[in-house]
Amino acid sequence: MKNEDENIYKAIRKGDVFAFERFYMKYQPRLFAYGMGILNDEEAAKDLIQESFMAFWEHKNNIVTDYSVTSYLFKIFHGQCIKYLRTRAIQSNFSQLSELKMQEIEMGFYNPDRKVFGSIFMYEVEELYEKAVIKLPEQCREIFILSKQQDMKSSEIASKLGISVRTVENQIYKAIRVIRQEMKDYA
Amino acid sequence: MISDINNILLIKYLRNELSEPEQESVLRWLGDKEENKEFLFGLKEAYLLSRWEELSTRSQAAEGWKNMNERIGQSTEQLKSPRLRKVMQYAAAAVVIFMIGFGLHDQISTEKIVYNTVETSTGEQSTLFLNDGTKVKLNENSKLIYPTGFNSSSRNVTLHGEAYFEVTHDTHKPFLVNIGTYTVKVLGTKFNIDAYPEQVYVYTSLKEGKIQVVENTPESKIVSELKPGTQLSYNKRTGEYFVKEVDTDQVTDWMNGRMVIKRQTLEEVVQRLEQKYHYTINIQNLQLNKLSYNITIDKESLEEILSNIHFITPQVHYSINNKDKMVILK
Repeated sequence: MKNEDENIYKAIRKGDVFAFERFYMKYQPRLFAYGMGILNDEEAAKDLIQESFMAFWEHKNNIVTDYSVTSYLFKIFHGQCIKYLRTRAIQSNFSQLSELKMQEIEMGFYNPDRKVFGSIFMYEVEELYEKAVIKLPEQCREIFILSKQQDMKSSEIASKLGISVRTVENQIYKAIRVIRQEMKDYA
Repeated sequence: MISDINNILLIKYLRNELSEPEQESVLRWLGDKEENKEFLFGLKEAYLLSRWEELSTRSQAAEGWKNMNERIGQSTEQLKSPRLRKVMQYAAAAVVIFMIGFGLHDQISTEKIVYNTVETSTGEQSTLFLNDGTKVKLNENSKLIYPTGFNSSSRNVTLHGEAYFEVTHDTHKPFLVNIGTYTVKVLGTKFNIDAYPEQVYVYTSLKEGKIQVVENTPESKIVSELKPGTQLSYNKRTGEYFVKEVDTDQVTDWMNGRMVIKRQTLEEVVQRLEQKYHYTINIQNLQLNKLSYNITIDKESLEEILSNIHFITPQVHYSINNKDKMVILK
């Protein structure tokens, strides 16, 4: 997979728009998933992704790939997110201070200059997703799927299944931990 | 410790449902220890991963690409404008024709096929008519090998580089263009093949009619069938390919006498500009050599081209000395 990306990148360097399209189609959703985690703002995430790809395209000739092309792309995007959050922090008059603080901590955590720059979305997400969700115990999976795919509130799931809110949330928590464990095995 | 925090708070965090005071207590907990961050953010990634299907749909990549494609188009468009009156005149292509005879050792067949080769160098183009009436326009640095007379069952030619074909219709004798990577099979149509050997991708674009792209294997498996207005991009390294709609007039822009520079490095571009404008151009910073460009030159002045190059790659600075006809790039 790495090699495939490197090959696409070689073509992009030569100005091959088709290769760039394939690269975009593959990584745009991943950046989006990653960006939603940090920004929790769909529009902002999409805008910053566009800026990042544009910057990638404009600098395609100057990219020295000491690390993978993918991490380079994520690095650009990460920088865009920081810039955006800082600007917003200034504009917000610090009214949502704790939320902003939280985002700062998260951004620091994903800082690409850390030794291990890891967003799971840099890897083969589809494969991982399949593996992880299949591993879930049944009740756990049911609740989990309700909570994420149909975006139901814990209280709604609880009344639908006739269990307590507390149980629902514990199950969701359990599901996420199982997935987390799978991710560790994968990486 | 992880047990110091309530699961419910963590879930609320993941689902962005924390109230301000809850947010504060999660923050305090995060500040306690580095491992708390590892834990919570790891959990968050898992949560996002579990939403992968939903998120990857919501990202609306196709729409995003459309918009991106336009933006990229605009930045290359800068190079094309202003498009001035008449196109520059090309010196008549000095076409070198080699006659190469091949005696067929087949005892039954007495047919002797003689091949012609037409080759163009940098800046040259050539139009030729094959004896079945097919018209071929050859772009620069390209080569077409064709028999002086076609045999009774098919019409075979070999192409290196780029050419535009208008093939005379003949249902009984398919016209086959072998580009090494694959063969394009047609009955009678108009299409363009862009298959310079140094390119990773080769492109076949169809203007009218119907063509088949077939593998160069004994089975001649069909890779793809193209409809008018579409283009097949084929990756020679991986064998991957895809078809998309294109403006075929733009694909054949090179035929209108414009100088079309495709995917060439600054070093190569400079050679072309030297030939066209009769200036000596020096690149003083060797790192610039590897920059690559797509440029269509109509009737722009050298200064306009240089300023456009500076526009898309701001790291390239230029100075012109018109008296000595010298340009320095750095």
